[in-house]
Amino acid sequence: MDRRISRERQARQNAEQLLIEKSAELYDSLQQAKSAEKKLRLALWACQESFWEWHAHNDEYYMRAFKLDWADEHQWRGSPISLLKFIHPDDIGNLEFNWMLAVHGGQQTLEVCFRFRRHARYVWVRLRGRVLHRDAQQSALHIVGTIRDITRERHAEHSFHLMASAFSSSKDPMLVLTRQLKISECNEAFLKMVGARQKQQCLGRSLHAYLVNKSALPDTLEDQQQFSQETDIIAGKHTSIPAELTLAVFEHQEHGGAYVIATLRDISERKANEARLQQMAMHDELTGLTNRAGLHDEVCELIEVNGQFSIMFIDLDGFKLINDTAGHDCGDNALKSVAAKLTLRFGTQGIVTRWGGDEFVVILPNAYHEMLLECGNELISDIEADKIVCGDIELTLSASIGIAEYPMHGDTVESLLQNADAAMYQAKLLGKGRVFLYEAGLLESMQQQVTMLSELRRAVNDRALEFYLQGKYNAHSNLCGAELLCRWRSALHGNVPPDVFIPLAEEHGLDTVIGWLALEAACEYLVMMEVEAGQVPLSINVSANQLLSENFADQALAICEEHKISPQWIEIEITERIFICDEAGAINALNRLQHNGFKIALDDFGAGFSALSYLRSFAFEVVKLDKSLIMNIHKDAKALSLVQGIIAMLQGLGLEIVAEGVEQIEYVALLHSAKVQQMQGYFFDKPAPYDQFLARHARRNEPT
Amino acid sequence: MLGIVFTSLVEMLEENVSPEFADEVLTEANLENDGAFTAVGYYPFYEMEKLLGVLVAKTQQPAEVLLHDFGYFLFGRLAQTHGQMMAGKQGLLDALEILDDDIHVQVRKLYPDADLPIFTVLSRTDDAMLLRYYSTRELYSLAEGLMDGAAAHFGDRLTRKTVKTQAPHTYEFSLKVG
Repeated sequence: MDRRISRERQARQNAEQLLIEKSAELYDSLQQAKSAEKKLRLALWACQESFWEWHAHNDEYYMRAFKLDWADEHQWRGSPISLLKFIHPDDIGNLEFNWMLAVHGGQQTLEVCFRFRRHARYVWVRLRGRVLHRDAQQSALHIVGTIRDITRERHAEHSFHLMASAFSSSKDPMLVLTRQLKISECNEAFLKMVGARQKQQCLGRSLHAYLVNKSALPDTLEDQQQFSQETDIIAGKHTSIPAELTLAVFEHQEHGGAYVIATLRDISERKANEARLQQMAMHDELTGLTNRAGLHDEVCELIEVNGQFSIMFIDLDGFKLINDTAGHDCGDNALKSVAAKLTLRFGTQGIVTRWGGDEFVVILPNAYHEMLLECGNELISDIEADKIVCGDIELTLSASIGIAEYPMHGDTVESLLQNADAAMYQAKLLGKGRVFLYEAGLLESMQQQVTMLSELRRAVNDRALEFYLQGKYNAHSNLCGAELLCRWRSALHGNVPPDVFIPLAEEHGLDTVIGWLALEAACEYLVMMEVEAGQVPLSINVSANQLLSENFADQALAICEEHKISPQWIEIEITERIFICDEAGAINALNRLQHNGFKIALDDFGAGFSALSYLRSFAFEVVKLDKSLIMNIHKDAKALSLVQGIIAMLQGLGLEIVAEGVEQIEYVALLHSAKVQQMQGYFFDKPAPYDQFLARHARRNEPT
Repeated sequence: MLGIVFTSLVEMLEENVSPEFADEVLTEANLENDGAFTAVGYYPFYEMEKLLGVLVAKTQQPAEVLLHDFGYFLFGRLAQTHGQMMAGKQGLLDALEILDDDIHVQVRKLYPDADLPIFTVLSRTDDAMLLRYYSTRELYSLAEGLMDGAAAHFGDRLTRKTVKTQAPHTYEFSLKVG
């Protein structure tokens, strides 16, 4: 009995000991379980995964979203209906389909992405799960899994897809290369450019294989290196495409390596445009000839090889008239025709250039001036032979040609062209339609003319020209009129004679202004004379250009009216040249002048052709006999007879006669006996400034 | 082996024979703990073998018979102690079906490493069952006693047949009730 009691006591003690041990074990394992669960929770939190499970028996979802702090853990429990409220309507179909596959379709795993509404906006989530238990009908009883916000990945993926799509659909060829420039990827545009049918043909090959010039590319690219170059891409067996190649190195974050992105841009169109522009820059559009820029290059090349050559500088004569009267189309056709002639004559041996306007330059290697003079004259005949018909007018062109030879007349392009131009100018001065070979000093004298021209222009603008007066006298040596004569005293050139500066002025269109200045001066003199000495008629010289200018007669009248001078005091002297320029226009202009009250005198009669028909065409009031008719009449009986005959004829026509160049007393008696009313010349007085002229005659006219 | 098996055996000896007989057996078996067993304890199987050896010697009965009787008694004890497990069970076959899933789970709560026999239901109809028994201890007689005890508990009339299979330590019980 004692043993039994002792045994039971022992058993109880054992049981108590066992209880303590088991409690401790239980506590430990609970702690371990908690720790393990915490690790699991943290792991899920770190992966940003939330836990979910679903039980078929109550059709309920349970979700746990973990946070670092246990207390923040979010739990959710709900029915499928309440869960669907959070899902984007567009994604419900797909989610349901995948769910059914897992629940009833025997699929063990579940993975589906959808948009889930959270805090009033949708985030992309990825749900993963696995079926743990199925019933006898294989329907899922319990599914567990995780869910994760993949909005950022989704955006990244979207952006990646966009980039990939941009790469593949880019119209510019693009490639991904290894650092050694081997092709790892390329787009359709590249395949099209190099004429490859399949990508596999290109992958693994070196980019160098597609370059015409293999050395244009380095073998590898250094870090961060950018490379851009124009190069030709092999596009077929015999074709290549000019392209702009750009390479850029990119570090690969995941693999630690680097890759190279290459883009190619087809620049054939740009190249073609450049070539076309180059062609346009070097050629004249109208005639197709080389232009000034093109010529410059050609001449520089010739000088470099040091060959002998000549330059012909050709300027068309009469071209302006064609342009003005027949129109610019006609002018253009004339230029084309001349260009054709030049090309035909010199195209095979030399370079034919349109220098600009109506100027052409021909470069002829190995030509000597005798031959050039001959060629030039033939060319002029060629050009003159062409008749340009415009309505009922027939116009002709001619040309003035200047020649300069290398190296004799200059050793640079500029000097040669300048000298050939000067020679051409000289040809024009000598009467146009001729060839002139450059000679030493020509340019310098031309330059002087140029200086003189600019001086003259300044003098005209500054009204620095002076108008002297030379009297006209009757048989009794009484003043009965005076002529205004223009004088120019240049600071640089001294007193420049009228026969030098008047042609220069006419050539450069300054004569019109000089004409107005003369008229104004005449009016001013008349105003002063009225006060100081009594008026006599004053005559001024008017050039053909000015007379033929529009409204000349009216403007001249306006100037007189402005000065309160009656036009009857003004005599307009013109020469027969105006009839050569435009007879009908001249007669019309003279009629208007006469109608406005001006007196018209024909100057220099007897100096040129003196076609008497002009005297019939227009009713001149005065004719001035040229001094060449008067000269030596006291010694030369023939000359005297001629003058006497002319005077008789003019008197027969009822014209007033003024004899010019009356330098000697003998002339006076003879002219007087021939009944010439007025005389002008050094015998009476020399041209003098107004003050001196007035002083002389004021005394004479003073009441005695 | 779980302590309840030892305490149940001691109780059976005390109740069915006498406390003195139980004391003798425990003393003669020369046990490590002098027979101070507790139901929630876990004791080496050889202690049970020692007790079985003493009993065979004292009663002159084969071990199988002793084990069968003990199994029968043990079921009653278990049903008492773990009454909640038997609640809702319609009959013997229902109770047997949950052997592995339920009773053994309870044992493992305290002794995760316990060396337990494995019962597998091979087939089952409303009134018949083919049950496989695997145990390195080969205590199929004890199992038979438990089944008979269970049948008695539910008031089922049990017809059964035990077949030793080719596989080692494996027996199949063919059971029929009613």
